[in-house]
Amino acid sequence: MNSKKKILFFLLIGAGIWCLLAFIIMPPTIQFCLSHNVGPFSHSKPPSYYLSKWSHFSIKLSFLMFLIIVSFFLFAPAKINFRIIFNNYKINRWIVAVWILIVATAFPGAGYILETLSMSVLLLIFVLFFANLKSLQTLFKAVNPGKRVFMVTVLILLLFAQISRQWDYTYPFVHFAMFTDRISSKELVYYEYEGEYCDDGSTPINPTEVFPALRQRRIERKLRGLANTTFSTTEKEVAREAAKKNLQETLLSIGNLYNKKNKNQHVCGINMYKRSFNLDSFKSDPSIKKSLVFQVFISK
Amino acid sequence: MKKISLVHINNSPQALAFLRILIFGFWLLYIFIDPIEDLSFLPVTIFEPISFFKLLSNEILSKILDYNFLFAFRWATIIFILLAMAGVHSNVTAKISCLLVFFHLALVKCFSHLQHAEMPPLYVAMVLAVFRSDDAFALLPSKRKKPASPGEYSMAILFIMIIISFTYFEVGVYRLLKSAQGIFLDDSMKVWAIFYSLKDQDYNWGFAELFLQYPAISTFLKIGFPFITILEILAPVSLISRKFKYYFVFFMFLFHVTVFITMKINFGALSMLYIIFLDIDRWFQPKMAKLQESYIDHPSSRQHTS
Repeated sequence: MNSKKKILFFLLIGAGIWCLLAFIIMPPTIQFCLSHNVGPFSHSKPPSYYLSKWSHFSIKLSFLMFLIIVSFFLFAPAKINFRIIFNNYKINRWIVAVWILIVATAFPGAGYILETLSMSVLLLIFVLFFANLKSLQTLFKAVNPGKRVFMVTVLILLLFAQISRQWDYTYPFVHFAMFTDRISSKELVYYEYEGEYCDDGSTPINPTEVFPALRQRRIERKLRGLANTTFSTTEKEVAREAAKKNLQETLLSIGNLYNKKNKNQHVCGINMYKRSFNLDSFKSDPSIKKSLVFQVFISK
Repeated sequence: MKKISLVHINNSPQALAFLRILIFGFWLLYIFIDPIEDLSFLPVTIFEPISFFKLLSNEILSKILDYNFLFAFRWATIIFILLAMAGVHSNVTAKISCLLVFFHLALVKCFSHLQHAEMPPLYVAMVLAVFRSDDAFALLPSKRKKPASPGEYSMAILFIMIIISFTYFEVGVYRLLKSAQGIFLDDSMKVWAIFYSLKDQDYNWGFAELFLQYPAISTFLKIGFPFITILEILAPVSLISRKFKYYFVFFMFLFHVTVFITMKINFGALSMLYIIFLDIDRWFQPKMAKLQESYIDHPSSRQHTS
């Protein structure tokens, strides 16, 4: 076995032992110690507190070790010949330098250090992988410098937006996150709208139909956000009042535009209904509660 | 050890021009059915400026949010996109179109939330505006001094594929780091499916009731979720493996269709981009050989090689 293979072998063995210790042996050991009053644990805190502390610590330490290993692969002196996929050291050094600059500037707004760091490393691997493909390098060199600058800039902005999440400034380069927020509440709430005709009767109003420019649930989500703040018990009074005023004006705009589009039958008011039901009890009680939560009147 | 190589390195000007027509055609339809002038009816107080809008004064903003301005802006955008699509001096008209579409999307975003699915088609339009996408299928091609090297078209298409796979990769990695493994084990997917199928009044296919009455259906979505996340993370592999590329397109398309049917979330814009993952260069292969010949015969290229 040559030295390169030996180092890889020991790294793999080391990683295996660490994973075994951190994720399989330690959690039950902590639980055992807690139940037998052994070790430096305070009994005012539940076992889950220590387990989550250990879990965070072990993940952070794993990540740090991972970073050290990646750095070794990247910056190992040329004579050691340990750069596995990288065949152009000069390009890679530039990429890593730009990556460090992006991470350093993006971090103040990033918030979650661990996931941001892990993500930035994975994005770096993505960039390094493609930058080191010979065929891509050849094609890249075939285009003129202006286009090369364009491509590099686009990639840098995409990276920056993803890491910093401050895409208000980098738009249209944004932070890509879809289906990431876990939902713990079993109480589902949504809103429905109804227009009251000036003469008699009512009609359901679909805000998206009235404002097709804000389709894909944009207007609907805006209204929901305003309603949530207006009826919130935790928000400050100032915020609730502002949201209420905005909700009222937005519903008025919907009414006015509806009347503009339906000249034959105008609405003189819009009712906003809250619909809610519990996910767990739906099977036994398949009814969706409906309550009027907001009303606006439109002058003729 | 097998050498890793890219699967999209022979692309013709026709392939790039085809993409120009497709992408700008999409934006033409998007802007055409999008009466942005209606935004002038909304209260200015719900306008939350982003990007360059943050730099504008209230006075300028109120002028921008005027009905007449927005109406004129929309039609100007339509005209420029039409010109770019038809290949009328696309090196200029496509760039202007991209700026106008960017302005349009930013304006809409200021009134609500971001639609991630609309971003990749904008990036693709930007690439097409910068690269030579009007060397074929163009009414009035841009006048250029030098012929393009055949590699330029391939680089453009490869870069588009890199951007698309990069965005998928970002989505998958972020989900994995932020919410794994809980999000795959709990009822989040089921709740999304029910919530999104219930809350709209425009069309309702009754899936929410089905999900509630038959948990097996939502279990199917739950099982598919980690599978799709893995596919998203592996998206870059589609640049180096033709076989994987077809699996990727098939399953992601299936996923977007399922999400559309069950949750009414429209990923049509993103799904359209899968055409880039198909070997569109093969459709135009004979023409490409001709172009390569003309490149070799071109006086400037001969000078360059000598």
